[in-house]
Amino acid sequence: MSDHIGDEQQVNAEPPAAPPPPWWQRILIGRRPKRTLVRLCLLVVACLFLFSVVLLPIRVEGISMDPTYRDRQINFINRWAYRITLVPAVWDGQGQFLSRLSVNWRHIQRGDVVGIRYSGPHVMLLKRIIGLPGERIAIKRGIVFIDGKALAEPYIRKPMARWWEPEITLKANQYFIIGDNREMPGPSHVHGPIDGQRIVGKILF
Amino acid sequence: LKRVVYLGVAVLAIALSVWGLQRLFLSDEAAVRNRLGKLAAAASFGPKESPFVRLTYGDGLASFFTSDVVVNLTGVPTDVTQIQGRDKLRDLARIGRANFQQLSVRLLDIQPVVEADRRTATVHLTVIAEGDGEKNAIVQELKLLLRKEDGKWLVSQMDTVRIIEH
Repeated sequence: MSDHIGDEQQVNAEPPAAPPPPWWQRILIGRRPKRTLVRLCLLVVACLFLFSVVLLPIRVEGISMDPTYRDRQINFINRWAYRITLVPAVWDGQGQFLSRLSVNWRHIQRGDVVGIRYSGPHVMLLKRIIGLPGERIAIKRGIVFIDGKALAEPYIRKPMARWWEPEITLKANQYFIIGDNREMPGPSHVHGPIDGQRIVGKILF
Repeated sequence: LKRVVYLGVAVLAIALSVWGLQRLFLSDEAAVRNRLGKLAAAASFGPKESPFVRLTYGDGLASFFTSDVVVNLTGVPTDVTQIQGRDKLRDLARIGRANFQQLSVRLLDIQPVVEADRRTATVHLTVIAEGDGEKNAIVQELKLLLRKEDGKWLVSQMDTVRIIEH
């Protein structure tokens, strides 16, 4: 008798099954709101980190990089482009590694389109690097010469104006920047040697 | 849930207290930023200003500079390369005001460094000026030297900074 009563009590102690959440709640906050909240917080933190530390959103203004980057175009500057990069290990497929996982320093290369800061990262110049430290650079009739040799510039799609710049030798940590729009008159196009410290990062797209 | 609400209220109260204290007791850097913000506002003007406001434009702007201010304009396509003194600056501001219907001046990336004596400061900033009829804004990095006179930070020297190192 007592066993029977005990069984009844056990059955009564079980909570009634909760009704399933309505469809709109499942879509908006999921079946488990606490987990959704944690995921949302993580996503916000990741976005804040990504867009304040790594990628700088920019809007191109002006025509000096036309037609590669047009006026009012949105893009990003990758601030970590010239920091350390991980080089993955190479596996030969037969049980041996040909090279280890390593860390490399990426250098600024000719042809890179970079963001160049003024006093801070909120206003930048967007230009292409054509001269590297120590090189001799000159522009004759619109053609760029590096150490006396004409530079092939496949990214220029507009006819070049006859710019003329006397030869200069770039100092250590000095880069020569220029825009892709060589159609415009030289004096109204910001170009020349800059200090490498001013380079914020490389354009993403 | 109660605990979360209490925690939220506590965080909000702390944030408000910190913000209030910062507003009450401005650090020198914050005071310099604040002053430069007012300078940008004083330099800007719209098309619908009263004639009286137009007349006082030069005086308002000059009040942000010391009487012996020196402005060096190197690498800028202007006829004037140096402006010496607040009176000269005031006159040029008046002439400039007469040539424009509207002007928007923004100071960005303000980086103040207050010296140990807390009477002088060096500031690097980027100015963006958009006048009427101008297709592109003028962007220029500036280096300012500020001096504290009668409790106010005044610009004693202004130099243009060249990005292109020719």
